[in-house]
Amino acid sequence: MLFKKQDKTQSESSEGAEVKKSAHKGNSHYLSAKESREIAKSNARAMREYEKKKRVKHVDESVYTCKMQDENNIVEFDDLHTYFFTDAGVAKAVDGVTFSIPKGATVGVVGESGCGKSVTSLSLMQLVQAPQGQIVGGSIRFNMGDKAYDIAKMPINEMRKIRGKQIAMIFQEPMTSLNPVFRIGYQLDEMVLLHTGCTKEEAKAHSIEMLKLVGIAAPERVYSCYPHELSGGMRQRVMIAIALSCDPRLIIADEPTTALDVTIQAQILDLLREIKQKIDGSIMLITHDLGVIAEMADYVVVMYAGRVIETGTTEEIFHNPLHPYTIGLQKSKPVVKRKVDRLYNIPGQVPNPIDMPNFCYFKDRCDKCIDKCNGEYPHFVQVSPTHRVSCYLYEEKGAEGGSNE
Amino acid sequence: MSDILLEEKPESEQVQAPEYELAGAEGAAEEATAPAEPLDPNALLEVRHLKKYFPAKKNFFGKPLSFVKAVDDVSFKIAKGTTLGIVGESGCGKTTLGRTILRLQSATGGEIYFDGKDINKLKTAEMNALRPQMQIIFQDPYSSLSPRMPVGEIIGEAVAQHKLVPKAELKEYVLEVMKSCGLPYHYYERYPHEFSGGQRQRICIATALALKPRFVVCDEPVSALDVSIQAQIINLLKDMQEKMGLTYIFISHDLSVVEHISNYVGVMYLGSMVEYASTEDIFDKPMHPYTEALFSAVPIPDPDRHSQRIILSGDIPSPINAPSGCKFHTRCNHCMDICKEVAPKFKDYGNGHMVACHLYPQD
Repeated sequence: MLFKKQDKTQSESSEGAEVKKSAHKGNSHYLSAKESREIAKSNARAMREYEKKKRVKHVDESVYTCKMQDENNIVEFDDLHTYFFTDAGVAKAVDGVTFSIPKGATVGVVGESGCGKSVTSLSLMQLVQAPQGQIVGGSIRFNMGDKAYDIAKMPINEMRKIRGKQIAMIFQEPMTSLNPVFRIGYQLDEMVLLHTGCTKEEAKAHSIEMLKLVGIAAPERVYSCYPHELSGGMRQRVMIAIALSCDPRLIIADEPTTALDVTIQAQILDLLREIKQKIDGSIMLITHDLGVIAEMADYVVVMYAGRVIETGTTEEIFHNPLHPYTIGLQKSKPVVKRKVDRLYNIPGQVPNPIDMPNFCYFKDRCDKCIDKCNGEYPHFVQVSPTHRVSCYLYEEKGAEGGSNE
Repeated sequence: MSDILLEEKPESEQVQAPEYELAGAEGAAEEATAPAEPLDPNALLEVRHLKKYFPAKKNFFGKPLSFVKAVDDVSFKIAKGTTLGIVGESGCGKTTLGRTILRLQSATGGEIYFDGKDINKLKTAEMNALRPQMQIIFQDPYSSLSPRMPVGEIIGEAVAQHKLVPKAELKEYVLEVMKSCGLPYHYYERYPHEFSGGQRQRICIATALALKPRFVVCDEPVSALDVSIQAQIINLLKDMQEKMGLTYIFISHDLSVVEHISNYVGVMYLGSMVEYASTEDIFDKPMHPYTEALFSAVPIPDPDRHSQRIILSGDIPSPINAPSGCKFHTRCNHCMDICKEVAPKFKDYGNGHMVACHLYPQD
C-alpha cells in the first residue's frame, strides 16, 4: 500500500525541477492498460508460486536448519530480499540487506519512512503482508542456542513457536496494537498460556509480575482494565510487558516511542535499557530519531531505499559518518544547544522503490557525486572491522577486502 | 484557505462556550474600551489572561458542570518579525491556544490585541476583513487539503474570496506564490493526492502565505514529515519570514526544532504557561522544574553526551480536575507544601524571563 502511494507522488522530483513535457506523457510511471495487465499477470504468477511453497505441509527440519556464521550473533540477515508485488510493478522494499545482531547488544536501524526498516523486521517475524509481500531471496539465520534456523525458509507452524516466545515485537502505535475489546489481563495471559502451557492462575500471577516489571504502579487494577482506560505511555508499557512475558531472546522495537511525548519517551527508553540488562536479551531498535539511536544503540545500521548503506558502532556512525546520506541526515536535524543559521537539507525525495536503476540510489540527491557513481551499485567498503559503507567515495581507501554483496 | 477556516468553525461547543462562562467579565470589558495597561508599541500581538474552557460534563438541561481548562490565563506578547515557540506535552493546550488566538474558536475570557485591536470584540465582518492578515498552517498536511480541488484552486480560493487581486490576474498571482514556495508551475492543475507529505506541506504554506499575512500560527508543521523533508520545510518557513517580515507562533513538541526557529519560547503545562523567555535564556538556564525536565528528556544525537536526565514520574494529570495550587506539583521533584495550595504568580525575573514557580521569590 505504502509503495503505491509513493509511486504516485514520485514524479515530482524536487523543488525547481525542470518542467515535464506534459502532465501524463512525461510521467515515467504512467502505465498503459496493456502494461498494467502484464504486471498483474506476472504478479499473480509469482505470488502463486511463493504461496505454493509455503503451503507444503511437512517440511523436514534439515531444510531450515542452518549454521550461524558467528556463534555470538543472535540474528544474521544475509542478502535478504523482500518484494511487494503491487499493481504498479514489483516494489523492492528490502533489497539485499546484510547485517547481524550480536547477543546482548542493541542494534539501531535508522532511515526515513519507506526505506524498508519495518519490512526488514517484519520479515524476521514472517509477518510480511502476504500474498503481495514475499521474502524472495536470502536468509535470516536465527540462533536458537544449540541450533540455528533459517527463518526465511521456515514453515508457518514452526514459526508460530518462535514468534512471541523467542522473538517478540513492540509495535509503533500502542493505541492500535492492543485489542480494544479485551481486557489487558486477557491479552497478557494469552501469550503465556500459548507458549508455556501453565494454568490460568499461574498465567495471571506471571502477568501481574510483568506489569510490575515495566513500572506500572497498580498492576492488579491495570490487569482488569480495557486499553482505552490507559494513557499512551501506560499502553506502551503494557505492550512491552506483553513482549517480555515469555523471556524472548530478541526484542524488536519498531518505533516504540514515536507516538509518545518527550517526557514519556524518556521513561520508556529508560525502561527498555533496564529491562535489557535484566533479561540479557538483544534489542533491534527501529527508529528515525537519531537522538534515540545515540542513547540506546551499540551498533547502527543506516538504510536507504531498501538497502543498507552504512553500518558501524554508534561512535563510528556519529563521529565519523561516511556515506553522504548519513552525513546529510545528521546535519538536517537541529540539535539543542548547537546553533546553526540554516539547516542543511538533502534535496529531493526518497526514490520510488519500483524499477530501481542499477546505480547508487542516492546519486540524484548526493552533493558529492563523482563520475564513478554512474556505474553499478557500489559494493560495501570495509573501513574498520566494524564499519562498512557502500559508497564509491571510499572505494580506493578501503581496498577490496570487504565486498560483501 | 477559507474553506479550511469554515470547516473549523461550526463545532457546537466552541460557539457555546462563552455564553455561560464569564458573562460578567465580558460586560466589564465593554465598559473599558481601552486596555487597562498601555500596549507595547513593538508588539504585533499581545495576549492577556486568555482563557478557553470546554464544557466536559453537562447536566440534564445542558448546563455544564465541569470544564476542561484547555487554556487557562495565558499572557504573552510577540514583537513584529519574531518567532515565538510554544512547547509542551500533548494535551497541554498548545493547539487550542493557537486556534483561539486566531479566533477559530472564540475565547472564554481574556484579550487578544492584534495590532492594537482586541479581536475578541470585533464583529464578524470586521474579523473577516482581518483574517487575511492572520493565517494558520495545520499539523497534518494529509487532511488539511481538500481532495477535490486542484492545487491552484486551493491556493487561489481565499485570495479570490478576499479580493486581494483582480480576477484576471489571479492565476498569475497564484503561480508566483507557488514559485516562491518551491512548487513548480505545472503543479497548478494537480490534485493533493498526487503529492508527498513534504510537497503537501508546501501547498499548505503557499495557501497561507498567498493572503500576504503578517502573522502566521504554525501548528506542528513538521511533525508529520521525515527528517530530511523537515529541514526543507523549516528552511522555507525561515526564508519566507525574512522575505515577508512575518511573525510566527511556532507550536511544536520537538524542542530542537523550536530552538532552531524561535526567538522566544513559551513552555506550557496543563493549559498554563509556566515559563517564557528568549531562546538563549531558556535553553541556557531553564528556571521552572518542568522546563528543566522537559529539556533534559530530549535525546541528543551524540553517543558521548549522556545528559543528566530528570525523569518525571507518572503521566500528565487530567485537565478536568487539574491539581490545586501549582498544577505541576504532582510530578515535581522540588514540591513544597505551599505548591499544593497556592498557585504561583507568573513573574518576570529579569531580562523578560517569566516563570511561575514557588522556588523563586513571589513578591
